[in-house]
Amino acid sequence: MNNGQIWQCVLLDDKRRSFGLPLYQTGEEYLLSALESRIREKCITCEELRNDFLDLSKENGSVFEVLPIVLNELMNINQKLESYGRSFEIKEEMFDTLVCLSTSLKLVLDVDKISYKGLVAFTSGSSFGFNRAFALLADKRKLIGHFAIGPRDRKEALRIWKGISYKKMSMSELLEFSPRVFNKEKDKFREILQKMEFRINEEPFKKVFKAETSLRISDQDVMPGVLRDYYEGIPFWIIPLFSHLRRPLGAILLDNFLTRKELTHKEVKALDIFAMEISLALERGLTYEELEEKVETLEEANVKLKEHQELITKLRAEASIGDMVLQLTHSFKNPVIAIAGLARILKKRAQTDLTMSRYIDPIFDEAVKLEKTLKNFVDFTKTRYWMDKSQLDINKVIELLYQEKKTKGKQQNINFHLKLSENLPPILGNEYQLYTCVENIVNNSLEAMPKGGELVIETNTQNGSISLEINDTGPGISEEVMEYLFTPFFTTKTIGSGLGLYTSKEIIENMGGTISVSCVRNKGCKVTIYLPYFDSKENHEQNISRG
Amino acid sequence: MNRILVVDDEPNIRFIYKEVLNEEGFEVAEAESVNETFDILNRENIDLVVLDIKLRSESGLDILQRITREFPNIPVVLCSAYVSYQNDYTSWLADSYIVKSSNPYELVREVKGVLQKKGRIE
Repeated sequence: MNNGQIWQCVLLDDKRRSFGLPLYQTGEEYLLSALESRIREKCITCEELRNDFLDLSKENGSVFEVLPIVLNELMNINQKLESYGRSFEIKEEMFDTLVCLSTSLKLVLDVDKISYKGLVAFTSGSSFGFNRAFALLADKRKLIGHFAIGPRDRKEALRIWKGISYKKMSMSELLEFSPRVFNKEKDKFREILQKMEFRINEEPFKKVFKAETSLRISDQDVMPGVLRDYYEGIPFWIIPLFSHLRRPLGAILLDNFLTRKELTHKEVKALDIFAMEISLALERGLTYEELEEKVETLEEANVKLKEHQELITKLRAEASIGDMVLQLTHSFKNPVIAIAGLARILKKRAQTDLTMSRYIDPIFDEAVKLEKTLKNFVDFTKTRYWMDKSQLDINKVIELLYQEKKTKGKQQNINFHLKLSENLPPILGNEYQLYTCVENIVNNSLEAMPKGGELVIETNTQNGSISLEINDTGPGISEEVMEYLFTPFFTTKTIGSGLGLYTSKEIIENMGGTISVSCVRNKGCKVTIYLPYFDSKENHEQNISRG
Repeated sequence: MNRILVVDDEPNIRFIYKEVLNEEGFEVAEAESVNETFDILNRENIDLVVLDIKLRSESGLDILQRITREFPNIPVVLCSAYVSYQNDYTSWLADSYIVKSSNPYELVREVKGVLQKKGRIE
């Protein structure tokens, strides 16, 4: 290239104009008549100008040698600026996305919606623009696949991306929860989501939760077969989600299976900032869910409590009915005995007198019938309503209960073992109440073994007391629960008044006994009751006072 | 002839007991209160007391305790309308216990049994 041409190119004489200019595009004709703009916008970055400068410096030396260096540096700076500009744009978009996400999550309590918004933020737009994302939620010590979003393959990816750019949706529009999209995406990934069930302390999750930061996982890392098979050697990122007390709430899995884009160190840090937003929302959502459940349980307990109160009122009323009935039958008894007794004497004395017998026999028969009816009535009233104590054989109470529960136990695959010590001394109590008490405990054991087990009920004598032990092979009770075991209205069941064990304790203590519970985690529970022997000398007065 | 004291607040019950005991050759004295009971016990020779647990406003139990204290040699047969007390009393102060029924001859059997045991049958 000679000197004449270059200067002609820059200066744009008519001759040059006729064979066209490098770097010019349609619509830039205005540059033809604007020398300064032309040099700034085009010539400065033009390779040809640089070469011309080099040629000039070779021919003329001195000051011209500087020109190519200046020009070169100028181009470098220009390139840097451009890349900063791009990076700034990405950061700006990331920031916008973060603001949108934060605003969008502010009032959301639904865990589905939170997962949806979080994954959309990671996969849409050009800030992160991950190809695919999975949300796993913590349940006890496990991470369970909850939701996923993104294309399954290249074909679908093209369709989705076209769709979004065509619709030109803004980030805040994208973040709006769509149940239709949610269900569609969830359905699409159902199979793999169901397979995703990992222990929090298994790799690679263990190291992610320990590092408390997002980590890139490649096929060099230890990971469960499910993940290895799914990602097929493509690297992916795990973002841990934490509560404010550092309790794992879940994790997000991100990958670029199509674009194979890698992340810079700064971008990984940015992931953590997004994760914090999502974690906060998730914690709020989970706490709300928990609260709702508790409220529901409380409401149920409230209903049960009301029922229980009604039952108590009813029992009290029945108890006073019982008293009344007993008094009434008592006042009937003496006259009946007198009539029947006299009739018997008369019958005996008129044995030979047939005429008399014709009248006496029916009187006698009717009186005896009346006496029997009275007796049955008293017996019924006593067992049903009377809360007073009598001597009891605890084995009989247990056998009665066993007859009642054995069918239910069988259905549940539970084996009953009754080890009842023979010739136990009697105890003093109300049979109905004692039955209720043991029934409460046995019911708890049965409920603790929904998939079957062994239930051992054992009676014995020990240091002047009768011991009753109920052993199950259920999961036992946590220390936390143990502390409140006998507190009224405390329950771990969804349906339960929390009065069962409390009532049992009241009954046992009312009988002068003690009740205790001991457990071995995952081995079972043992309820031990001690009841004092019945001592006739000590107790006769309180019994006879009704006489 | 053995003399039996029947303590009961129901005149008809006393009448029945008196009838059946007389039939069997016992002499019968009757009382319907604590005072009457001890008047008779102090005045007469009584071989056995038939005592109802429930007297109108007084407790047969108090009478039982007083008898065992003041007349420890006189046996007592307790009567009650209900079975439930039986267990509490068999080993207690009374020598025997019966539940009142339409068959007054049960009482006669019990009375005879206790007297025989005590060697007081005449």
